[in-house]
Amino acid sequence: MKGASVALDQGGESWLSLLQRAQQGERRAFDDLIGLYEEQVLKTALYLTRNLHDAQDVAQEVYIKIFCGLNGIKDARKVRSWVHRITVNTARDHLRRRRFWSPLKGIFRAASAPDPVHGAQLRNRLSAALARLSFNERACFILSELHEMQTREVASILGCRAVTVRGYLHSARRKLRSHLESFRGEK
Amino acid sequence: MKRFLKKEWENTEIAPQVLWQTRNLAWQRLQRRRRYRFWPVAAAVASLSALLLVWLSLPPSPVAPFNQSAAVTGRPVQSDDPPAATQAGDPLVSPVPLPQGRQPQPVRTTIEEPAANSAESISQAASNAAVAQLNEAIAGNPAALNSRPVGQDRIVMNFRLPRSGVRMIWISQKTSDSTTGGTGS
Repeated sequence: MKGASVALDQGGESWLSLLQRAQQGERRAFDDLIGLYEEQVLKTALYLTRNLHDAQDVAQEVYIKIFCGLNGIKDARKVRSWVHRITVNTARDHLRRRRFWSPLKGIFRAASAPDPVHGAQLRNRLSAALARLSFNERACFILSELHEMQTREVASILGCRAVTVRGYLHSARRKLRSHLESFRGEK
Repeated sequence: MKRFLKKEWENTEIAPQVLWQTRNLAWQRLQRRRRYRFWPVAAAVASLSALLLVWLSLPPSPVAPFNQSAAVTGRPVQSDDPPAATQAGDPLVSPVPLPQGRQPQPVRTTIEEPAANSAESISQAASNAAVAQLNEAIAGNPAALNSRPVGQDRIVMNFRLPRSGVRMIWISQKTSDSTTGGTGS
């Protein structure tokens, strides 16, 4: 998101013109506009949901929300926070919904043929470590440590106080440290 | 630990095919949403135009002519609005000119009441004569009183003159092609 935010800050008009062209139905403009955010959005969604299918669903919704709501953003500096807020909230909603529908989805996915694109699931140590955290802890850790955001900004994205964010971060670090130490011990 | 996890984060690569597929699905959903937004608007426009067509195809509502209500009910129609003929200066219904500075008098119910000044007495005399003429006409043709479907051959006009406030009743018979009479109060 860093590169995208720099591009947005420097060329505020460029994304507005991209948005206008995309709203007129130009597919290429839509691709260019979404290309500013897509990798970071998808990566964040991937680590929040820990599933590529769900991450793709979340990313789609985020793209649609960006497309529909970007017109109302006046300050280009707020776009980055706004996109992250949308991503986190959409992922949270998606996980809530998935809790209800997951038994049915599991049946359908087992019945369908395996997709070569989705065959490569995320199986790295970061994903395994983040699986031990709650959603809020994960969101705080990703935004604060991996996106290098200020605590205040993370608090505004998650809609809570900075003290709460610090608390989540503390517990997330503690859990991750213990997990990684056990991983080293196994090794 | 932080450095290690950050490195893992940066090393995570998402296939361009996945990125393209996600973008494509989002675009398709947007297009579908646009199409759905079009349908309610189109349905609303179609229903409105259909309503307008139905309304235009209906025949115009029948408006009762001025003389018909009087003929059917047998009672003269009370109308406060001056007829067009009065405003156009029709000599048959033109009001009696009043002296300057005189306000219109309220309408009196009896015509036997004596008039206060000369102008009113002239009007009174004229109306009395008209009533007498009307009575004669009725006496000459007594069936005219009882026969109700006279709307076709008799026109009754009952109106009040705007300036003087004099109420006028004009009965015009089609058969004799002559104005039978008029009265005022």
